[in-house]
Amino acid sequence: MRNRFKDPIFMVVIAVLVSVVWLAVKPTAQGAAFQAARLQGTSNPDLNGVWQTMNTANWNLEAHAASAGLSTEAGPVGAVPAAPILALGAIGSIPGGIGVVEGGEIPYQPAALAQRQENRENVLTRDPEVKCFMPGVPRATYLPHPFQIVQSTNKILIVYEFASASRTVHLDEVGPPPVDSWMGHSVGRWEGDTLVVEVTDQVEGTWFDRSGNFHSDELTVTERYTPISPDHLQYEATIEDPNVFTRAWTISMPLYRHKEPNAQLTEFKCVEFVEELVYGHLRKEQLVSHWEGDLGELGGRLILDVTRTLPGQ
Amino acid sequence: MRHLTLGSVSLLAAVVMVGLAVPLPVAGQPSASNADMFRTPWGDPDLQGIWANDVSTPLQRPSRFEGKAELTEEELAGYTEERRATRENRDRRDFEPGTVTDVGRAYNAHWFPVPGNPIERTSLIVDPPDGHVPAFKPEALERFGAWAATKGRTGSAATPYGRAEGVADGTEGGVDGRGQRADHPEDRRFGERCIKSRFPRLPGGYNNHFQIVQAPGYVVVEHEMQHHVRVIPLDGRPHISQDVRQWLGDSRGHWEGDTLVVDTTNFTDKDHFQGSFDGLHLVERFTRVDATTVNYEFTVEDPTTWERPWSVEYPLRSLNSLMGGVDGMQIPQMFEYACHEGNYGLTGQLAGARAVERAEGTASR
Repeated sequence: MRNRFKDPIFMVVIAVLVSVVWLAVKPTAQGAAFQAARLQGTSNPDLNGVWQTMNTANWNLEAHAASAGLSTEAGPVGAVPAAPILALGAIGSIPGGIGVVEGGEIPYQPAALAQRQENRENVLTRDPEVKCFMPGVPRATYLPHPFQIVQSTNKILIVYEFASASRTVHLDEVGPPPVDSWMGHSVGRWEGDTLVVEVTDQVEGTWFDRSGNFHSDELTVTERYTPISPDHLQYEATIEDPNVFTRAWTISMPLYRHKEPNAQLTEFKCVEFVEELVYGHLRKEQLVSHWEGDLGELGGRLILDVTRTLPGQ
Repeated sequence: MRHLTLGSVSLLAAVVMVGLAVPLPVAGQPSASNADMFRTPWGDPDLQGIWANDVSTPLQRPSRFEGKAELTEEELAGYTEERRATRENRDRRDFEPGTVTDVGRAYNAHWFPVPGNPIERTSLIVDPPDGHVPAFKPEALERFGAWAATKGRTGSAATPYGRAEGVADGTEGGVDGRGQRADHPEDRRFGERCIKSRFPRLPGGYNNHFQIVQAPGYVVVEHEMQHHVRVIPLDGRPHISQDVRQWLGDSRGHWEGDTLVVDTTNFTDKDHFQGSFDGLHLVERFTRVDATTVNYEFTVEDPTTWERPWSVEYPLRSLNSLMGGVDGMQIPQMFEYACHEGNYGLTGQLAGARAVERAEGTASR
């Protein structure tokens, strides 16, 4: 018997068997072995569902304390809400968050960090979300709106409520896209129970959040969707952009399944809602020009006046 | 190593046996042999792929074909040539520079697909048999007129009938000669505003593609035009609250045999389909005919608008078949139509109208 342990074939068999057993019981990255249900009739995990994050990543990917709002000006002590958001009060203020960036900080190149700061000081006029532009990846994932994964065999469609944006994850072999797009080009593959999606060919016009975090058109995003319970996916996105960052960096967060009966996306076609903002200056008769609100005994009367000019005026 | 190989074979065999032990989906309905070929792994009829509706047959029967529902093979060939010639004229350069038809073409032929061909029917409408939208109720005409008035529409743009045959381009008033005002964005059509395209879809000049993706319990129809995505549940749930009114309504689907039937209600009153607003009830039917064809039918009814329901039918053809063949073709993709993100057109329309007013001294500010 002892001789058999010197038999190379026997040892290979043992090694393979050990590997198979080890792979079968190997804990997932999240530390708990979870076997997701299969997509009916296939061997792949079933990621179908209406999902949403529960964090403040869209306000700021990095850890941040609560603050007064997206538009502030200096007060005698700290920042106070500026005119565009003044009437919104607490609704216009920003909730804090523990951050979703692994290691805490986004590794900007020095010039890009200065650009991020400038963006941050001009969020209302520069953040593409304000104008209802398609959000790009990964931001689409952690917008404060649900999205639905529609998983078939060759294609997975991810349908986002915000701006009716969507993207097709190609599991089959397709050619490269002819031009960059707002939602990019997504090619997926299965690594065990993890759906890995390489996202390329995104335009430079999207941001990562409402805090000015940005990228160039050299952005590539590698996403990982891993089932960790019947109602949770772990989402990871590794971001690379040689024009903006010093190295690749990763964000990570759980996605929660919408459990309410008959959960569904409803339309959020926000183009209609931003027409006054984008085209209001081109109206024959100016429309939004003056607002008064009586805040009662504690607030007095708030009066806002709006003046708009054409470009170049 | 031989042992290992044998072991692997056994393992594979075991997996296969287990796989076979799982009951295969049984077709619940008697179905055509074609349909049996197209099944998803979970047993639903398979409608997936990228489809085009670029059929150049008009919605309503042209007067020259009155009383004639179908064309003979010879007539169809002639008509096909004629329609192609008309389409190709979009790129002609013989319009007088600066006229409505010259300026108002929006795009030149580069942006339009290879001209679609007409089908053998003389109208997309199959019911009523005369090939026309049924008569409007008086209240519907009144409602449409009131809606059009809020947008300053004139000429045929102020009616639900559309431009009648023989009415010359540029003769109907408005800033564009087509009965449309441009005092503010709300005056312009929803397509120009990148909010919505006509739904249910009828063949148009471009972006005539649809991607269908299915999952257990869902069919999703993604429109290339305005990147609308319709997620259609098949689980028998009721429509959402009548208080939720949407541009594309609220859709619920079920299978009748191998045909997908989609019932859509909850339309908004901000827009209309052929004169029907929030009272629109749409029932669509998608049937896989063969490898390259899905037959698309819809019936619309709205007792507050038309004297009777009416129905349309036309084929959706797979993009592969339109590109010249199925075998050996690269898998087609549907690319993003980002309309709003670069909508210089609407800015141009409004800024142009303001410039005209300044030039004419009629500016109001």
